[in-house]
Amino acid sequence: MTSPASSSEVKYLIESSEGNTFDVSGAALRQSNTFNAMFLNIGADGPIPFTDYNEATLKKVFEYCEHSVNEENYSGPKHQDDLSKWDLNFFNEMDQKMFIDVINASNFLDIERLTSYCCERIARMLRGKNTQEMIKVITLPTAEELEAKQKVEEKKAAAAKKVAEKAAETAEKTETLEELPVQQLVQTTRNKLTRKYLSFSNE
Amino acid sequence: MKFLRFPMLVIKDVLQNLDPIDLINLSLSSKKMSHLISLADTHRFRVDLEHFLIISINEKQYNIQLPKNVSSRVTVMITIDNAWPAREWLHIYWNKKWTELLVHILRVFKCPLTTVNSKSMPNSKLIEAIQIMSAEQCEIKQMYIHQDLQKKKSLRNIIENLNITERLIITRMGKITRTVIGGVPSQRRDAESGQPDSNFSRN
Repeated sequence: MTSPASSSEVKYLIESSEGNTFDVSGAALRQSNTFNAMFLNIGADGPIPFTDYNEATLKKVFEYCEHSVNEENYSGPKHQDDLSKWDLNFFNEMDQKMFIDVINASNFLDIERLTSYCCERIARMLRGKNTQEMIKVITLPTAEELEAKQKVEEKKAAAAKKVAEKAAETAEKTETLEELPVQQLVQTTRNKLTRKYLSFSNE
Repeated sequence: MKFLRFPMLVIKDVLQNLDPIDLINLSLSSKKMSHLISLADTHRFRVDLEHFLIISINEKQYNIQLPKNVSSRVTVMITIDNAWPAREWLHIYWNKKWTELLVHILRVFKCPLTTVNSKSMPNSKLIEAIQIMSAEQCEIKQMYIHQDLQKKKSLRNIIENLNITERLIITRMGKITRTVIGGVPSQRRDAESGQPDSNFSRN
């Protein structure tokens, strides 16, 4: 059920990447600036497709929106220590994969409060750590891995160069054949034929 | 968590939640990451070179020690409103000379050196700093030079080679050889207090 009305009781149908639909209240959806820009004024016929994200992720994101409907207006990022018990539980329940999906979905839907809390949470994982520990958290390739990757790329480039050189050589050969004057070609084929004929007659 | 795969807005939000020291440590993790650090609006940082290398943001100062010898880490003391003793101690995991750290910070933060004040710096350190800053052509907004340095390093050399964009103030300590009764009062005051006697302004 969809409606362009701005009443908070209106429910909107959301379609996930699996093709499943579920309904979300208008008040919760209005926290998404993307939704506000796309559907709030014009309404939507049929379910609203957010097909880049799976059902579990979207439900989690809208669970947060439903919860924060009654909270005071968002006024900049809160420090992690200021988060409510509900907020902390909400984040702690998620595994890393879900957390990453929620950040991406929240960023796409432009839900400022949720995106900001998620970013603060990542920043908290990095704070006070040394470079090596930071690399582990954000899974950056280490210097050795980069070196190994570079070596593989160099090998690939060398192999590609060899193939290209061979191709160039064969192309050159065909070109030289094509460039031979017609008379010379006729002569060479005649010679070959006579040689064949002679060998055949000898037999 | 593959941090670099997050949308740019998320990366920016995370970086803005980190303090300058975490940003420096993070910048050492990879080349790509060091290019992204300036997304944290690092141009708002004030970087001063005095007895410490001081990065100031709002009311906080990160006082980075300038060690004589190369070690695996550099100590940073955090003060609020320049009130000592330090509130917190952090570390930058840097195993090269402090002058290279200075250049790295300016490059990564994409900001100029706000002031260089030679008053509280040992001459050897100031000369090291001047050498690297003229070699790298780092932008210095304001520079205060005191007499001791002028003995050892040609002043002209400093002015010609450094990239000073706003103000160069040279202070000469005056020696009172005789008192002239009824002399020009401003001259007398300058000579007694060692006030700046030259003030070059550039725009």
